[in-house]
Amino acid sequence: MSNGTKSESLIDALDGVRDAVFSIGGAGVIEYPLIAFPSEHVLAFNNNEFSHLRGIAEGQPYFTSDGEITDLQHRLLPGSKVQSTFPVELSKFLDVYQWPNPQPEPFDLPTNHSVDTTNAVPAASSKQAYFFGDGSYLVTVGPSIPKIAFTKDGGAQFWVSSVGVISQGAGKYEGAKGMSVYTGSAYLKDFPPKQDQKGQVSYLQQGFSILVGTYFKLVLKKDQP
Amino acid sequence: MAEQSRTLVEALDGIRYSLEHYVPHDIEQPQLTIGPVEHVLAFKINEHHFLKDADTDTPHFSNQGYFSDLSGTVLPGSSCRTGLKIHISKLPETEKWPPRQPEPFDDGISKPNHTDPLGHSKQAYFFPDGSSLVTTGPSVPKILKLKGGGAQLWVASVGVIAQGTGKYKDVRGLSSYVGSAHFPHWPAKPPEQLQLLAAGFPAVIAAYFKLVLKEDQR
Repeated sequence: MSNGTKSESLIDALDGVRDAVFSIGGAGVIEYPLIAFPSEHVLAFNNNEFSHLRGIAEGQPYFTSDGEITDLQHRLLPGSKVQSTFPVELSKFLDVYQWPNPQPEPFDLPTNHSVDTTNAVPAASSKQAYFFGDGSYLVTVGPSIPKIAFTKDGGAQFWVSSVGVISQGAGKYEGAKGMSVYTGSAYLKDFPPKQDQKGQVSYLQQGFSILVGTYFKLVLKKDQP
Repeated sequence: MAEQSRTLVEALDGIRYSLEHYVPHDIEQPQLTIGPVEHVLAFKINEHHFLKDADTDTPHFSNQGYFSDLSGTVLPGSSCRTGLKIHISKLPETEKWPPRQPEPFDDGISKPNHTDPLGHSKQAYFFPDGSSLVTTGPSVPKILKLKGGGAQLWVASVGVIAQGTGKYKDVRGLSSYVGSAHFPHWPAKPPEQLQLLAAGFPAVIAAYFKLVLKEDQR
């Protein structure tokens, strides 16, 4: 077959096959070395979580979520666990229905030395802990933005996107430095209308399932000075 | 039936080619959607970054590139344009890290020191079918010195969809991305660091979108 790469040696050819197989991804694989720089580790995975709105009576509402980690094919990583939290200000809850203004071109330059930040500023700071099957874990903290869009079938799609800066780790991630991002979503069937905040709070207190797409880019302690 | 390989190496190269080209590579992730109408996209972006106006107090990163699936298979016809403005006075913050977070991790309490966004970015993603998505949101950059004198630069951002075209016209949703760049030699002093960034450098970004199309909204 004459298409594609021509290997210089049998070892080169075998390495090529190995890399090609690796790029497809296997069960439980969350490391993506082919898109990492030297010294860097890239993780991509999904979390299956269940979330509740709590702290209403105490006047300090927050979402609390627990779950497990899967690979991007949605296959469970045995022994994994996720815990996360996201405080909310009910007085600003209606902001979740507001969207940014159209951004002007050119898109690779700030316009008039600034970027229009309307309806695209963080609402709160969340923290997340990811526990892996080998006993290692990573904890992150950082700014988050929630949004809700009502769907035609009477439901609503609820999203939270967040930046996470690594604050601590254990096991193979002890002393690791780096960053993460996640975008989580829930489908809220028969979600009460925008004006019915009491009904919405009650709905969210009952609990709901979320799926969270997460990326990490990090450098292990052994590669730091 | 394909042509018979003449050597073992040629046969192995053929297997590699088949794996790279005939196994489906897609950026849509239907297995990770929740609810009946959500779309999830996950992809990697190769960009080239320049720090422009590096001799001013408000330089900005100006970035252009193209994207591929998470295994690195390029999406022909894709492109992206992104920009991030930062103030020079905030650069020292890029080397500071948040304190240890208290347990439990699901109790609503965080210590977000050194996680403030240092700039606001906008991103435009152009897909091979002519559709596009534009997002805007806060960005947090960090720099870590590496053993051997190099450094790793990361920028993590939340993006709220501001506009779209083609199949993404009037969609609603959020994105997030984390990008990185590697510098084999990182200068000790800020003026030289800014010079290095102004000269341009490659970056690799992992992006995630969750969205609902216009036809599924009310």
